Amino acid sequence: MKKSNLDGWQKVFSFTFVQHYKSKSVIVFLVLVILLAVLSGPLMSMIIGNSSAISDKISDFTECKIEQVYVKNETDMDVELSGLTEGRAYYKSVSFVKTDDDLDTLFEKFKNDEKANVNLILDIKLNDKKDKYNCVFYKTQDSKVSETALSTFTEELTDYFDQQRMKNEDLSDEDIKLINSSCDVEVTEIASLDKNDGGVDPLSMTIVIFYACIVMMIVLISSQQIAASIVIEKSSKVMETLLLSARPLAIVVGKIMATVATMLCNCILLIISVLISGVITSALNMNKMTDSAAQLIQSTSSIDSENVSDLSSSLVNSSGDLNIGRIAAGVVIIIITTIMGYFMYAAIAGITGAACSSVEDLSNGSAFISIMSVLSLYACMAVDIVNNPVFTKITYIFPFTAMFIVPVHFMLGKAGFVYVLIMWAILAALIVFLYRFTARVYQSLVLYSGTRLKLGALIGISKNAGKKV
Amino acid sequence: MSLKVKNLSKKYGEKTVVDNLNFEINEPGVYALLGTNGAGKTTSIRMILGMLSHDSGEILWKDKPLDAVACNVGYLAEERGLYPKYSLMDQLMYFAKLRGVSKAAALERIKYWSARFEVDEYIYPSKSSRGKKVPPKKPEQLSKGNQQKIQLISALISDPELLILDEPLSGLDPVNTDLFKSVIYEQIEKKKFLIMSSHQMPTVEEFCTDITILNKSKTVLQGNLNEIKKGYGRVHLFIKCEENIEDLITGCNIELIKRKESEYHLKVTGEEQANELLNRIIAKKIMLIKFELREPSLHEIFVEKVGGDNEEK
Repeated sequence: MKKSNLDGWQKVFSFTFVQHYKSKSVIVFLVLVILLAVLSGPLMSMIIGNSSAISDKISDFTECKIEQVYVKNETDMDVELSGLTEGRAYYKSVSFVKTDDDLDTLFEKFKNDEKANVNLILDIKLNDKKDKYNCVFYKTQDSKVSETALSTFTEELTDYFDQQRMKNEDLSDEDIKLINSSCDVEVTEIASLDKNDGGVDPLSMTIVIFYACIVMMIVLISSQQIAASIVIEKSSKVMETLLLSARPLAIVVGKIMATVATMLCNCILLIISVLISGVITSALNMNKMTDSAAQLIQSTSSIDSENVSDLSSSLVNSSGDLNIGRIAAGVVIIIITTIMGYFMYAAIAGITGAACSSVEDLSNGSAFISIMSVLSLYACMAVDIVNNPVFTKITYIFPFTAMFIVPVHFMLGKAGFVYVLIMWAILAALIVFLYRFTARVYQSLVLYSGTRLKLGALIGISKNAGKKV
Repeated sequence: MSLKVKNLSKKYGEKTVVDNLNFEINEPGVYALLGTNGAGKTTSIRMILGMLSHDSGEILWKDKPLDAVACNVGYLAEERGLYPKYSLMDQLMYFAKLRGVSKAAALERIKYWSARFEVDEYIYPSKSSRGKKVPPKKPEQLSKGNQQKIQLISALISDPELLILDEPLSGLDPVNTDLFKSVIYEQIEKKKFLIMSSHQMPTVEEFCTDITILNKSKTVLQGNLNEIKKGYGRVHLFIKCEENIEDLITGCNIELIKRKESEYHLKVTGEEQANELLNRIIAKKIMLIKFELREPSLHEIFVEKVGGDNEEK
């Protein structure tokens, strides 16, 4: 593949790219998608925000409105709760006040206190049988603190209290964690012990299939776009005019790059639209956020590691925090693999388009791409269902399936980096082979007019091209 | 400056489509590549332009291998092609950019040629009677002749030194044929090298100094057109008279090629045979309207060279 064979690809690229965005249908589609993305958030917010039943419960989620918590400790235990709020921005205005006043005095004080609506009373005591602690919270009826915020606060406070009382028994953090952890139950057939691993993890399978569907969509849409663009140039006879000024490989590379660029631009536009939507929605909800949203946001601050599946635990470390390093590496691997896979399918699409002489031929011609991508999707599903190490390794090595499965398996901790390297090496070799093959056959194909050429004929053309001047 | 095509051959499988083609263009002007359908003209042109690989031979332009992508070459393809949906201005600018023409030069040339071919309204926006801006037509809305004009503009946009025209006049009405001819004359005057493939023999005869006739991939006749004609001699006799002279023609042993009412196309062996017939017509006091003894036309030469083979076929 000579460098001069690529001369002029930038001109093909810029023309194809610009003409794509000059198309009225593309403009209308993009405007609709962008409008939908930008307006959906604010509209939803306005619709929900106007509901009187919910708006009653609106609260500021960025900062807890509770200011003072009167702690009446009726037990013999020494309890220090201020550790709960120390260093946490959300609870920065919360302070704990120890009190020995009886409850009636405190209730009277609440009634007369102007700040009553931001205060709580916590009464810690043993129950009547003296076999259980009770944490009883009192709040005023017209409290501005939302039920969700209050619920979150009381739950966290109770958990913290539990930790404190266990520490008072000289238990270490590890002991407390072990005591608090739930017991996992697993039932395994003896016969299945010889096999590699037990059952299908639904979360892992969902992630794999979701990823594979996205890759399949990228492959199908972009391949169809490239093949159609070449067939249209062939059927409209423009190709002969283009060939005077650019080599066949430059034409196909220019088109492929333009398709990559248009897809990227569309994605960026969509992301920007969603961000704008988020900003507008946030601005609208600056002083009001529904309880459910507040709960959602608060809940994202920590992940309950016990509720995460075993496989996904590779994404979450033992303390419940996201494994940023692995996720970042996974994202980079996904991007590189998607680009490589895209170029592989793009070369196939280029040959497919050039082997067809009319748009009608293309539906049959692109069957290979459709079949391979659908089979790859099924292979991804089968890997988790069959759970056979040999089958899994075959899918890791076979380039058409590897690009669908290896990156996401790496992120989930199922495939090591060595498989990523093997996949990249195979994909790179296949891409080089395909582009060399394209360079050989494309010249003959783009001027060919007739019935669709099949693989045997293409190989024949490639062999002949090697002998010619 | 010259174009040399040496021993150019091409095979598709076992079938030879161009067999050892050789020709040279040393002077500016129009060189004709003629032949029946499927004789290998378009394949030869595509090989010259490097669009198709060749099995053997070489093509030299200014004594170096011709690289159409790098050299300033213009090409009007036999099968006209434009993007059906994109604006013509965008397409012409794209073709100019691919040929390495600067934006300013391209705009200037588009303006000149669009005025020359009278296709401004398809390239530039116009104004309606109400003064509103009307976008130009899309290529798919253009007639075949107008599409052909745009194609020729794209071939001329780089002001090429070597211009290859494959069937430039096919499908054109007489007015547009004359317009195309005037453009070809303009290129000749500018001392450009042109290769033209055409089935319209009178047009080729009008422009071309040298020709190559291909038949079934082989060169059957090649050389300077005037010299070829001289070689045939003045053997074609055209007579128009008011009476039937078939007996006189038979009496002189002259071959009757064609008769249409009172017009006769005859083939004589030489001037003596023609004079003998003329004397007999005068002796019989037959009113003679036309008596023309001339060299064969290119059409006749072409038919003679390739007609027999194709009739057998």
